[in-house]
Amino acid sequence: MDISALPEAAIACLSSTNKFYKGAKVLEISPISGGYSRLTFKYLIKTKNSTEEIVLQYVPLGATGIVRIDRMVENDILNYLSVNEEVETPTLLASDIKGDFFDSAAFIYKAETGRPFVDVCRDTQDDKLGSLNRIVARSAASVHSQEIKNLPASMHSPRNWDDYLTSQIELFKETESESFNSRPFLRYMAKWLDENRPPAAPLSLVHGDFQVSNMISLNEEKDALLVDWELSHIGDPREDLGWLTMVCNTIPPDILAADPKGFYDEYRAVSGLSKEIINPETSAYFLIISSIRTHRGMMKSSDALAKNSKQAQSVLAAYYLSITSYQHTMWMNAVKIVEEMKRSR
Amino acid sequence: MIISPSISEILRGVTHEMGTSLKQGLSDPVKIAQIDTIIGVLSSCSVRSENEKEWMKQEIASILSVAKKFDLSHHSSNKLSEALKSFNDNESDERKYQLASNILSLMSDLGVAVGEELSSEVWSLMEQRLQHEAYIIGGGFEAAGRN
Repeated sequence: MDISALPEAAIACLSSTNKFYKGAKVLEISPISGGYSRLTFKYLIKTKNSTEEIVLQYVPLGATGIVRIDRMVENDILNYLSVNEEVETPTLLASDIKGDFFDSAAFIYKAETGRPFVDVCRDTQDDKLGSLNRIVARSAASVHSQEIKNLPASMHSPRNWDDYLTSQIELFKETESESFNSRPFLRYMAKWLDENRPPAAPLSLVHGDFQVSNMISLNEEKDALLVDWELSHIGDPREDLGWLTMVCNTIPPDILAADPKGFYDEYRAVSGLSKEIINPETSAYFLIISSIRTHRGMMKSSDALAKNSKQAQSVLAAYYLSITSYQHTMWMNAVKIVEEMKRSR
Repeated sequence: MIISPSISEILRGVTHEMGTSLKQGLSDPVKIAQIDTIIGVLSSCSVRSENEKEWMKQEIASILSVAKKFDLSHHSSNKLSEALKSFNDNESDERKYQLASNILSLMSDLGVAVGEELSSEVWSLMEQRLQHEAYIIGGGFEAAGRN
């Protein structure tokens, strides 16, 4: 679908759920960067009585991204969160899963007036970053404190923690076996993860891409909104803390490093999870676990490029090689952290 | 055949222009991220074209040397011994690198059961490979459009 047709489809989609939007016009369009697989725009729209801003997230037809997403599950969790008062998320105004208005999946939210949380972090002096990481800790804990039995039935629920962790370690082996070349980092990590299993944690809702870039600050004192739930699933809560650690190491500023003790104390206080379960060592372990899904997608994409597949002929497929190499660095550093902490005990 | 400037030098020139005059003319953050992505890819290609062959040979030699120690110890596996036996020095560098990578994977599969000395040798092989990969991505990593 051509992007010039998106505003009209967005208004039609909105009108189907709320007559208030019938006849509305899009006055201004601003692209929002960030997602690799989907397009995001902010639209200023004029309704009969007023003007308002909405955000459209549209997945272009045929765009597979690096992780296969079940848009129905994403839609279900977004609807669940829209009426949930504990986890702060933008209000979902309408969605199109079957392609009735767009040719592919699309989600329309109320635009929030706050600033990107990452911008707030960048504008904050280093010695004050610690207080911002408490907001991040509370946001993570609010996600992980959701009762699994209340989550949408469409979300796959693992039988127990042991089975779940085993399935995640198996993903390393499966990813390696899918590749036409041997991938020693994957095989090394699979063995190491199995030999160094951490204490079990209660299974929980996991955001799946928990990072400050996916947060919106309403005001600097208040908890931030959490966006981009497409990778959400039921798993180990420390996956989000591991992924956050990885992203904080990659994209400055590193608000976790600004005051790790403050972050972990706050998270433990809100989530009720113990120090044995939540600590930098388990975050390092789950930094590795949390990145296998994206790693697998990127590896597939670059393998397809090597096979000269026409679908894979893109800059992104080549760029993924750099990201996978960087993930290798992060994995090896994580192993070192866990090993050193074990030795120091 | 014109071989000078080298592939690496050509790519450095191209990425320089993309990162300066071409990028400066853009205001759309999506387009800027795309340019950064292309620059990242071309920069990696530049390093690879300059060093890839040599680094592959270094890694192959190191892997085979450690694998022979495994084979001499009672810690080897049947698969590892077989892979070492079937390694053919007359293959292309790329093929030999793939075979050596498989040998490294097979050594990794054995984990800590092989004892501290051999497992630290496997760790060193992983670090050698990691060091080459780190050079290729320029020492660190900047997420295009995110930094």
